[in-house]
Amino acid sequence: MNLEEIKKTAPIEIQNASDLNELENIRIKYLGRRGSLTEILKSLKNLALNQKKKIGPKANFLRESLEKLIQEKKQLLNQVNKFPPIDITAPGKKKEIGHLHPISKVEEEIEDIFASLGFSVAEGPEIEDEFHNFDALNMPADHPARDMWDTLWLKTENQKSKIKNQKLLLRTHTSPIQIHYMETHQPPIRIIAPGKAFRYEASDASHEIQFYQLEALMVDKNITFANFKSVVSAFLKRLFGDKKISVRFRLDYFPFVEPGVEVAVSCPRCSNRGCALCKYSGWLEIAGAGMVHPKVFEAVGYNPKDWQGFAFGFGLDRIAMIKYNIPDIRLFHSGDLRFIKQF
Amino acid sequence: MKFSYNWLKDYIPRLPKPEKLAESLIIKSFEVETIEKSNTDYILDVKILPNRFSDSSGHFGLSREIAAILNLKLKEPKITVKEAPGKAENYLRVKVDNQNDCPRYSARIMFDVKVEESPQWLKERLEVCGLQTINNIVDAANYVMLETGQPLHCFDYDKLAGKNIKTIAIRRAKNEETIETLDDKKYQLTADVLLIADLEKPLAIAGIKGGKSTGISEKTKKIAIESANFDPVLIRRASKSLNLVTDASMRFERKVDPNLTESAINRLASLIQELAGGKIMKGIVDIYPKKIAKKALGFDFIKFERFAGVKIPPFQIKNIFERLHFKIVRKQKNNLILGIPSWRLDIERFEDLAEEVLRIYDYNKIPEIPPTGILIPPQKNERLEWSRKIKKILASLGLDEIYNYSFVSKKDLINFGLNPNETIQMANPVSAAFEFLRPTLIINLLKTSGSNFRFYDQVKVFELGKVFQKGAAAPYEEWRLAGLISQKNKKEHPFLEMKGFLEKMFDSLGFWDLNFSDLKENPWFDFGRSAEIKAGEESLGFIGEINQNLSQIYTDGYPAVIFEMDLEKIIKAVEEELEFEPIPKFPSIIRDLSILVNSDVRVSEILNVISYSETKLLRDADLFDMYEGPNLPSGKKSLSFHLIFQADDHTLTNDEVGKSLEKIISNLKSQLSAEIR
Repeated sequence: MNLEEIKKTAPIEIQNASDLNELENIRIKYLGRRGSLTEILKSLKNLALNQKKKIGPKANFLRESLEKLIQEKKQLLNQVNKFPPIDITAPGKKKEIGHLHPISKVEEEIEDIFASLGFSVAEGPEIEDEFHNFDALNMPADHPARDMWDTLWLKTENQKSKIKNQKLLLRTHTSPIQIHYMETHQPPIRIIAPGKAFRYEASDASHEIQFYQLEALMVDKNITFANFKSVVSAFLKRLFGDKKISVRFRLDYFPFVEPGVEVAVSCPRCSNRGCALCKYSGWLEIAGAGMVHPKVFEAVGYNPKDWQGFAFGFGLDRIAMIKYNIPDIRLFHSGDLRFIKQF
Repeated sequence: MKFSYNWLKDYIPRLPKPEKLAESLIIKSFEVETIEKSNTDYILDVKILPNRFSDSSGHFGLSREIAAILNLKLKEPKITVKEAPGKAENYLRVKVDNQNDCPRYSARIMFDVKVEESPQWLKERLEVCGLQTINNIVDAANYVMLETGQPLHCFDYDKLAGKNIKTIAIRRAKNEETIETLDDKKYQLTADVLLIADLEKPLAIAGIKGGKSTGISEKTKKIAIESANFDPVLIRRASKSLNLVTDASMRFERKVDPNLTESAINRLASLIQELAGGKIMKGIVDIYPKKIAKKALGFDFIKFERFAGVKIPPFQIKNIFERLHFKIVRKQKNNLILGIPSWRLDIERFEDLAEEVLRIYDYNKIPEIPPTGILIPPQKNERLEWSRKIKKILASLGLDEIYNYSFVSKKDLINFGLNPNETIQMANPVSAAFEFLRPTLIINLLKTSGSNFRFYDQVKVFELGKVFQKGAAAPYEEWRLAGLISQKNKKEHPFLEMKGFLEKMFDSLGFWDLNFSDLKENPWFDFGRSAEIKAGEESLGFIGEINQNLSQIYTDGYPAVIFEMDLEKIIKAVEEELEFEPIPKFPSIIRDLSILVNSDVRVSEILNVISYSETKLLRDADLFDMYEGPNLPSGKKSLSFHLIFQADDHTLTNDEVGKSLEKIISNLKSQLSAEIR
């Protein structure tokens, strides 16, 4: 290839190179150790002086211009091969993951708090007999306190309870789990019993025919009322935030405890000032509680002289409603994903 | 229960302002639900606890309670009865059939009363307490009930059967006996109902409501006043069976102090005399055969300290009991013997006394002392822990957790081909939609898809909950896990998506032996669109795409794939499985194999042939591509597998793998007419 030919073809080839690899090959073809232009330059020394003077500058000029062209093309190709900038302000790609039900979340949080206090989790059947749901909890038949629990009864054609002549029902609270547990375990006892409960009820924003409760029970030789206050306070302060709330105890009546207590927390939303959540009272009633009634111990075969302890129970729905500001209890069973997907 | 503030103030002149009063009552006694202004008075709606009706359901009783908690002076009303000559017992005889039904019956006779409208003050008080005003006699009886807590009743004496001396009998109703009550309603009675009767007819449903025949009218001149005590259980049953709840029945079923009949009847007689004039005949006809003994209980200070966890000084405890009108029968160093006031029917044992001390002292003043004792780590609850894991895995796969009702309707059962007679039915369902306990989670799960299609194109949800079934003798319940994918895109059938979720779920739980086989005929699914989910040989449940019939009803006609499994079985399977497998020492060799087979050949058949062709060296056969459509001869499908070969004891050679592969290929050719691509 002579100089003229190189001058004609090389720039076109460089121009047409589509990537760095090709460009490098072109460079080697003309300017490499054995490249055609290199060969020409190498052969200069064998030429006559006048020839040398005639071709030399031309060849050198061509080499310089080709080198320049290659350099420019290289820059161009580099430019093209770089990744374009990203609009980092655009939103991230949506990845759909599922959501746990808010009651599952609250339940887990509460179980973890109690686990840290040494409480195990006990469970029990949702279909109960009268003995476990009422009698053993110091509510014999015709006890007026049974009116506090409107009951859903089962039609029991050819279905019987394990205990003779007992009507079957859907448990109206989680307290029967205590009874099952004490029937099969000896103190010391430190359990919580979460679960679903049912009531015969016209449903509205704050009442449902099925709901969730959690009950704590601690029994030993010397568990005192002061101990009860300490455990329930520790739990509630952990749940709602230590600095945010105070806990209030007042008299209440439940047949299965004596003394009977209702536990309230200062409204975490308005800090006790009064708002729609606490119905302008500043307090949210959370738990029914008290020292386990001796008759309950008798019903499970404990000698009440040997043991004392406390129990308290509360609604998981209610806790979830307070924590997440949920206005209507019926949302929990609505199956509405616009609700579930928020948790 | 409604209370008049002014009325309470009659007994406690230094009564604090209503809001202030409510604050103390709420902590130490009863919840005050509302305070409402009414002219010059306030209406307090006080929730008297069910065990405290005997002492606090009247204005005087509640005042006594308030005076105790606030340590205020209580003004007790003085009752004086001015009796006329002529003994009441000459005009009335009372016959109680069974003293258990009616432990006490007190009666008085008044002559020459003048029935009129009540004076303004009386009308106002009744109105504040939510009672209607009738006439001065009836209103006076109601007034004294609101004051004392003792229900009272007045009969028109002249309308009682008999001539000179009349008889009131307290007896059970005869079956099919009827009574017309004051409000013109007729009730059919049974032997469970206690009656007040004369020798001819029923006069009143005892403890619940008076009868029309002997009601007070404008013409009434002579009256018989009843102040009685009835068996709480009997009254409660009658009130329930007749579906009739009155101010009287509410009080009787929560127990009334039998001592109260006497003071209440005296109070009423003197009030009637004040309002309606007339003569009070001499003496009370009082049938009280078995007087209630005075109760005494010991209170041990050391026992109390052990119970409360805190020491309250004995003088303070003594003061609390005195404020509550407990009599200090004896005081010793470490204990008190206490006489229990007759009106405190709730006090039966030490714990009841401890409550009195603690509440009056104020629960909030008791210090919080953490329990001491041996530290026992909580026991693991396997059901709960695995459930938590499962829920989190399913959520991480994009399924939302929902909670459904535990009930289904009869119509639902029939739609799903389930027999209502074999399903547990409620005796008192809240509505037809909640008549049966769910035997499966699927029904309500499917309902959620339809309701969400207004806002979402795809619904992916799961639920973990109990289902219920009739057992051989007793009902049984079990935990189930169920899931649903349904979507508006009718062209896609998310069976394999759901199957993938399940495989991933078990994989994450550390379980490898999950397999799927054809489900026996099931009315919920079309042929070939469902499978049994198995862990090894154990059936866990099923997965399938519901048929068009069901999808028309429950998912707006859109395809829906569901699964349901027994949670306990899942846990049993995964618990056994989780075991470390040694990391292989020798490298594996991967060969890809693409074959063409008839469309009806199933993946499991191909995998079967592959795995029995090479039992030793083949670690895994993994389907990574399946294709059917254009570019392929019709009736054929193409499948591509990664075949992973590995030996435990040496590095495999190409030769070994080549021989294995040949065996596999030749079996695929001969048994499934596969073509190698």
